[in-house]
Amino acid sequence: MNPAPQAAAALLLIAAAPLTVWAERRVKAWNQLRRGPGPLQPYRDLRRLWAKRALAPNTAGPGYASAPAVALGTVCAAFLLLPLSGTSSALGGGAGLLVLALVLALHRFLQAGQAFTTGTPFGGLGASRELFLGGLGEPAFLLAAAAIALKTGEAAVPASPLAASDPSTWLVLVSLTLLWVAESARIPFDNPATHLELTMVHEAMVLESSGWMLALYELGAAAKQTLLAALLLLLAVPLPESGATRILLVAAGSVVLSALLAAAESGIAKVRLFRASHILIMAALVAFLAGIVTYLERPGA
Amino acid sequence: MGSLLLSAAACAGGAALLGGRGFSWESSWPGPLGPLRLEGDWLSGVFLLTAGLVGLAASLAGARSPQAPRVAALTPTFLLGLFAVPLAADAFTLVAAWELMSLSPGLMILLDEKAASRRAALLYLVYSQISAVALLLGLLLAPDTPGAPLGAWAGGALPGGHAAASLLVLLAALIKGGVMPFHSWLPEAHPVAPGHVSALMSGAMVAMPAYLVIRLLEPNGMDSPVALTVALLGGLSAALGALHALHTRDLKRVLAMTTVAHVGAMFSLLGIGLLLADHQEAALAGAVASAVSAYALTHGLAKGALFLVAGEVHHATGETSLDRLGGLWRFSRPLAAVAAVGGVALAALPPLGGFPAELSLLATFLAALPLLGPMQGAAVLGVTFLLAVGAGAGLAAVAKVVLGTFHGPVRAPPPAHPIPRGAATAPALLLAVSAAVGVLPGLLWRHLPGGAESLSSLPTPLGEVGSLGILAGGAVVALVAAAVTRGKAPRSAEPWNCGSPPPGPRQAYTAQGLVMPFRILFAEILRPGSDLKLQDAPVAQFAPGKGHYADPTPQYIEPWVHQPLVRFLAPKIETLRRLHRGPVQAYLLVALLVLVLILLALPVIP
Repeated sequence: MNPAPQAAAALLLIAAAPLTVWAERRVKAWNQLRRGPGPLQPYRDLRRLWAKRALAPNTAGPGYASAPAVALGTVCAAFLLLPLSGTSSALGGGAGLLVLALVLALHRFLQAGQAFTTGTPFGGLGASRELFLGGLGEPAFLLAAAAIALKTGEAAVPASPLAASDPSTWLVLVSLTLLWVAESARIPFDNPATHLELTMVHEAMVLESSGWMLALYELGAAAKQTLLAALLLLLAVPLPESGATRILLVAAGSVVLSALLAAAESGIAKVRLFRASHILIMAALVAFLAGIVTYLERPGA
Repeated sequence: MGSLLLSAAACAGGAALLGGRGFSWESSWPGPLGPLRLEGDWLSGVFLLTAGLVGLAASLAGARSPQAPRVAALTPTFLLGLFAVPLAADAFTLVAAWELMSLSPGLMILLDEKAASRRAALLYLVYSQISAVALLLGLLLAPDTPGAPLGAWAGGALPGGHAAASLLVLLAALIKGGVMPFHSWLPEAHPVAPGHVSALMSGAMVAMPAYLVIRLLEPNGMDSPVALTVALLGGLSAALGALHALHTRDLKRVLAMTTVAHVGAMFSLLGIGLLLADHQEAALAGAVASAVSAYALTHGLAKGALFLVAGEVHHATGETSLDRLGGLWRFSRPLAAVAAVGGVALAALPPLGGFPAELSLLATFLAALPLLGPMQGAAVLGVTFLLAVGAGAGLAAVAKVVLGTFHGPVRAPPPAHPIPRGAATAPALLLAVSAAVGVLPGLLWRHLPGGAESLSSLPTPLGEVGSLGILAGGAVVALVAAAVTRGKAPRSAEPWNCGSPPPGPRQAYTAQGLVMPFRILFAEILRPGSDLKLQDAPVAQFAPGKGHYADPTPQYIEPWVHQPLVRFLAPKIETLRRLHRGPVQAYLLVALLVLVLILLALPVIP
């Protein structure tokens, strides 16, 4: 386990994260008979925002200006919990999935905190919904980790994908996919394309952010989506054991997954908050079922 | 001063015991149940250190705040009880220390002389006395303990195979820890005490029942139905405690409810430990002991710090209602910073001490799963589910406390006293220790048995977790530095409010508003009441000048058990009291009758 290639792989994935935004926009544009932006457009957007001076609401508490960097830092550190360039991760060892759950919780706490401290109604609204959806996602994530721990012997992302012949694998993947959609703030949980107060979750939290602070939040959101997409890919798809091919396949795979998500969400509507919570509870129950099915799959059961 | 020295000594003693210096002492006095004995090992060390650290910070905070001399005088006795419990190695010392620890805070609350606190003190004393009696009976029933003349417990684990003694000790621990359904006293009693006493109760005292279970019951385990029941009750406490915390509108009560949740998490793992010991899985059962004691320590640090902060808030504003607090960072930035860090620690987020402890708790849970059969495994998965619900709701509860009190707009009333600079010192001390444990978990785990070796075979990579903390910190610092050196400090401006004037406190979310979705979703389970009073309404209810809303959320046990029990018992107790106050002849007659009954029963008792 050499940390340098792991860190390089993490940086590559973070650098590729805006491509997932491009894939979504492109697919949605096709769906609406538009041509859509080029692959560099999300990078240009980030550069434009980064160059701008930010505004901080005069009602915000101390630490508001450092929140975007800290939030992005936590997401970046989380990449090191995945076995990206080799068979084991740089950090987290045999409890990588548990560490990942807690790191994502820290990210949620920071996001909600910076939104609430602005003292605006939108900030409180976004923080409230983020804590709610994230809190309900936690059981799904931990139970999926429990099922994986039962299957592989440790609560970490395994080096090779879970056996596709086991029904429990599919249950784990269904649960984690729902969680990925929720954590990425996509339809049916959230709609990043609107600014209606009825529907906003993530957008409400960053409504007061501007300039380079917004750029960091946007990059963080894209990176988080890529992070969980990479988790799904590592669990589901057979990849080469190490080397540049592995990481390039993961990066390409997350872009493809995001495109698929965009295609899927073009056909469905956002549901209201208390239906979204039901979907997450369902994800937790599916993960619970995965654990029980794993017991039945064991030899001698 | 006395309590400071006492706590410092306890910290030093705890650290020495953790460092591997065990000791044992026996009195030359024969004693009522055999000679008095004190013993210390790593386990005593962790709990002594927990109590010592919280005691140190609480004494520092107590010295700053004005308090009734009677309350102040009881602090050292409370501390003495707390420190003696993990060292006691005979039945008499343990029960005496347990009683000292239980009665002192009860008296402190009683001496507060408020009607509400008197009811809380009564409830607390009733529960803790039941716990103490159960403990005493359990220790007396412990059979064949070597070295004990009367057959009473004399250190070490209770011998296996004696269900009554073990069950009684378990009951004592469950009641004293406030595990559901024995929890309803805890959110009443912990918040009414002064801030630093609450810190001691919620940070240090609730750890002692876990110690009791580890010391007396875990080595020999308990039958699987009992063990799984303990795990399930713990899981229920973890989930429902956190959900109740979301419904609670009082700053200190919210913290007390999260204590129920965290004690529940400890007991859920202890239940698994009892099960594993029963299955002869000694290595993993030992890992459970290590994980729970580390969790107790880090929980004590975080909870103690937040209760001390709550005490300062109460002292400065005279207010603990979250509906009326907000924006306090404007009055004390250090306190706001300490509260935020305390929230991170309590929610078990990196890089504070709660993080490795929660991690090793969950990892031990998952390590136990493959050793169990499908039925027990499903039960343990269910407990994991409850724990996870508790973790998700617990983060929301912590966010509600920290953000609702210190951020957002200032609500009535602004602090009557300025918050002094020193207010943040005592909680910051606890959090500094927590941060040290979080960034370098090896500091603590190296000294736990199996912490280094057997845990490496378990999924608990503690050394690497520590490096994660450092790494995340480093990345953050680098990013912040990069942002600031580019001259990018944001310009201060009015927040956007759809073109209207800046939003006021009436528009901004309150602490309760922040967790509203949780409260709506789980209303079917918690069944909150609704009490809306509108005043100065000229046209019926349409344009009220003022309103008051409350949603009291009773614990199930209150209407289901307590109230019927009190209704049943009150007349009988009144009869007894009449006898007590009546003619002396009647009193003597009853005493004689009881004596005769005892003499008649003597030949029947084995």
